[in-house]
Amino acid sequence: HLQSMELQHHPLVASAGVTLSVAVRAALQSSLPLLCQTQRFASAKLLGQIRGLSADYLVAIGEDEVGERRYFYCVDGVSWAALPTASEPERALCSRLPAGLLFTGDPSHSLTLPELEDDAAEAEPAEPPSVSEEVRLAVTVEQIENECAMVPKGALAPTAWGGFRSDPSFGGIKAEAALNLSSYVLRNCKAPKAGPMAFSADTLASADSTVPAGALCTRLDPATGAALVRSLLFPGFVAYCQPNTPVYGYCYFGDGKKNVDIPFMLP
Amino acid sequence: MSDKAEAVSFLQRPNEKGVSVYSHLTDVLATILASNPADALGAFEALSAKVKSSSFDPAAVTVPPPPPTTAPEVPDSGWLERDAALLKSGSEDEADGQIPPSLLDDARLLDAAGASLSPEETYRAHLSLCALQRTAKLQSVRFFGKILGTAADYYVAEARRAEPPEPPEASEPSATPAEEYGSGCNALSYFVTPELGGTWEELPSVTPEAIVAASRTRKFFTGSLDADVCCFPPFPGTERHYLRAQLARIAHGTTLCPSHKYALSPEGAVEPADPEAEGALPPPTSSQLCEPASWRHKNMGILAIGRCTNLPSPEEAEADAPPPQLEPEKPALLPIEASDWALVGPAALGGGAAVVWSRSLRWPGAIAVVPPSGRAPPPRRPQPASLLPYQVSEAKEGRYANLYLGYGHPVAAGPMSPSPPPPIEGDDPTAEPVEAEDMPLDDENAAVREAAEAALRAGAEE
Repeated sequence: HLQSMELQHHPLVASAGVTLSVAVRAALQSSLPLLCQTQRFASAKLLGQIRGLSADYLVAIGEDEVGERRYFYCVDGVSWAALPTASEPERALCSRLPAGLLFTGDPSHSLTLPELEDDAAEAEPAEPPSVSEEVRLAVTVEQIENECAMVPKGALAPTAWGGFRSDPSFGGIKAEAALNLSSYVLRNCKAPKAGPMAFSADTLASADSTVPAGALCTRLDPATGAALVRSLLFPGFVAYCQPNTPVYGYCYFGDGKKNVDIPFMLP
Repeated sequence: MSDKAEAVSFLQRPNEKGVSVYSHLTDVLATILASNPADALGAFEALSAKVKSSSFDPAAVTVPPPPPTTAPEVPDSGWLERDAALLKSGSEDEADGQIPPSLLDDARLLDAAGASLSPEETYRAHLSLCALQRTAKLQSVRFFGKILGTAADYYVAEARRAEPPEPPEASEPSATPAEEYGSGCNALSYFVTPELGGTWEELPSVTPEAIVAASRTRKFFTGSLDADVCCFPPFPGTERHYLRAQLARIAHGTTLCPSHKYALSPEGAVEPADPEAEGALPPPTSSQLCEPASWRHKNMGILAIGRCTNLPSPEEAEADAPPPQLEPEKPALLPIEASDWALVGPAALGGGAAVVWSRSLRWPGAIAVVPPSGRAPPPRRPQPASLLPYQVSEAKEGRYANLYLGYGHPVAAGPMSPSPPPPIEGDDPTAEPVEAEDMPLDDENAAVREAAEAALRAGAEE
């Protein structure tokens, strides 16, 4: 089981500005189970939507019984394509891209980076490095997953393969604790002082270790009763949980850009 | 005997964990006898270490901390009661001369574009706007959108009043006077509330210096209107003035309408266009709507001085002074810049559900939606309205919708660098230090001689 958003939980996050059109919701009702079937996944859930100039990318995560996760993207909500796994040189290239660049909406679009100055000393100028939009999308999705993805504490149980899966006996967290950031853990971050007992779910970093402090805002939506945690570091990221029920998840709807001005913007 | 008793008592002395040599040896021997190892002597040390480590150590037991608790913030009964009152209030009719809010119709367009709130929240917002219109006696009111904040969000309504409100008492005159109510940046009133069942509060008129200061700073909204905006250079006002300035910038930069809907009257006001007049544009098709030329800004643009209109030049201008350089005004109904907007018309969605939306690239979160008129040309035989697909009638009516859902900031050109403090003041370069003249030597000597003679006389009299 995964913890990104289930489609039927969409009304819980709507008050945070997270929106999906009715056409996309209808398409996902059939295409996500179809993805499960064709790829032999145990579950496929929606991570969110990354906005582009001419089209938006929907991103889904499929997980099989062993715990292997794979990412998929599509534009229309019907036909999914696998997102490549980013390699270290590609991540380095993407970190050199100008910060304000939006996605274009065309997965085959290729961005050429300006050459580094120390390369100019070579006799033959090498071909300027380029990165395709698909790879850039993969790097962005990985960054969001590693830095933001959070679940309530106690919702995850360790598996025999070293990963984590959702604990079937998780009954939910209390309403008072749901608004406290120390009740959430970052799903893909190990705590810095994880001891030798590596199988415990307490080795995951707590959400209140996010830098800067104040980058996560908690809110209780009185209409639905859900507790929402919004990230100001990645505007558009919402983690939600319904107190006293095992309903929880997270999603991202935004540009894919990290808000580097956050130290100036916090009140 | 006393030696043996002493030795036994010494061996039975417990350490801080309560284990003594005597008890440990007893345990080790008991373990050996119970487990019967093959080579007891060779395994003696290992067995002893094992018995030592298995003893209970109260200090090593760590009780996990209790789960964190905050003050319980379950939906307080206050919200539930206010919401019940709001839902009951929807049954009253609006007064004459008032145009009801069109949020429920616009929500269908916005939902097709993927940019609306949940249906329940939209319905609550509609009821809340109707209640606002009744209590504040507004001519028309529109749901502007939602500004997200750190502690609470703001729901924003844009309204037009029949009569202008009373102007506030004149504060100290600023360099650039604000525009009068009803014109320019203050053409419309803005009401905000953190809760749809609560009371709406009207934001004050916006001043040019607030708009200029807001364009230089970048702060998240906290959700309370009286909060300070901590930035450098200091913001002139509290969060309500900052919010009003940002709303003015968003409204004047991102409110769009289709080209065929409005026209400029000879006086420069925006009026509904007459479809029969010459040069009137037909309702656009979906392919036409994907071109920037089919969209227009509905409001005037804001200039760098913080107003929509330039100040009138002073009447007593010097003859030799050159005319001041004024930025050209941006009138209403200007076509949009293609680089500022992303136009999306999904081709995959079939007829009957298609809308074309325009998403702002400068103000992420602002969206304008227009339904196209379907396949051109329209049918010649007039058909009953029930057979016409939605968008034909909507496009003929010129229906369009605008919404803002976001944090209230534009896209920055680069990483933010706050302005540095002003330079340290140095000495006044025009004032040269003047050297004081020393007293001439003779005068100094005379003064010393007088003081010595006075001391002699005082000494002689005693």
